[in-house]
Amino acid sequence: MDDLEKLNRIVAGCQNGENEAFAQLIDIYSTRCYGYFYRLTGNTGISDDLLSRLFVRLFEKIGSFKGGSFEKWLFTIASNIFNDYLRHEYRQRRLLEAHAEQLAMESPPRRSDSETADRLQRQIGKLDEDTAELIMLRFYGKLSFKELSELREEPIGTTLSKVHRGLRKLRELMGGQDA
Amino acid sequence: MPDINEDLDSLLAGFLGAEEARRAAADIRSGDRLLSELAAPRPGAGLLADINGKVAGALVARRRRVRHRIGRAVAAAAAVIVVGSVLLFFSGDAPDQIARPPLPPDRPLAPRWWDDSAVETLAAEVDDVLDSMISISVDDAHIEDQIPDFDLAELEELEMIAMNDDFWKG
Repeated sequence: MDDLEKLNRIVAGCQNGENEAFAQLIDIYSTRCYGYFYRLTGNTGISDDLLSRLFVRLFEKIGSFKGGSFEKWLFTIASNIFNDYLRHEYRQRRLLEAHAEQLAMESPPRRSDSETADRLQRQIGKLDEDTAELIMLRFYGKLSFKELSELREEPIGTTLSKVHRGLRKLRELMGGQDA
Repeated sequence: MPDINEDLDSLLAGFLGAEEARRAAADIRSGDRLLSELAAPRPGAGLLADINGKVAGALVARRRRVRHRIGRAVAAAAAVIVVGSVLLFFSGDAPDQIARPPLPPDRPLAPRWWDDSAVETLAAEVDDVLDSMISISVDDAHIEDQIPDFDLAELEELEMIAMNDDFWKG
């Protein structure tokens, strides 16, 4: 049984309300979805919360999945959850303008693999939000440029250009490090 | 590196000159390598257990809601059948009765086996069915109130109560 067929069976199991199928889906996608949230927020606590919200929403909406690319569908939900979080965060920041500088200082991650990884996280924070999210959707969601452009409702050339410039800038910010 | 099924070089060649496309592809692959080798942290085992618990709790709640809906539909159907039967039985305008020849004057209207206590029994049954419907809908509303909070302990307790009820009913 190939991976796609296996995934289709798992998704069908979820739609039939099988607990084991949900557990498998969580097992398959939790690391990638967590990486997506972590790279965009730089905070493990927030990533924990967003990952929980994602799978609860997945449970609620799995019946509406009508086929096609499951990963595009899943990461569209993840993107919506992240953007809800950003809107909430933006409102909070406006309410606490007096402490804006302090809040900005509170963004470094509480847990990461190494100092270099911390540095990568800081450099990702220097990209504009839209570009950073496109790069993470492509990397963790494994979405093609065509899928990304459909998701963003923009020409594929625009998406290509944003991701290319973003990744080039990221590499430059990391001092030309090619890992 | 993300395992994406697309031909990056051909895609870029559609927008850029050959040399520019080659450089852009190299930039993108290099950025992908950077992200691959400096991996993000993984979710903790506790977090995954918590998410699995929330989903399992929500599944129990969903199954219960479905059972309640079926129970309510069955109760409603039973009530309609009982009430319909009573109405038909006492209706003088039922089509099959109109078609029949008139009864001889010395013959009673009700069948021989019929007595007035049967009416009381039917009325009591209708009341029972209505009471069941009310209690099911009250219980259902209570369960639905709990779902958004995913209060697992409470859902499990409700499940236990339901299992005990089923056990004593046989």
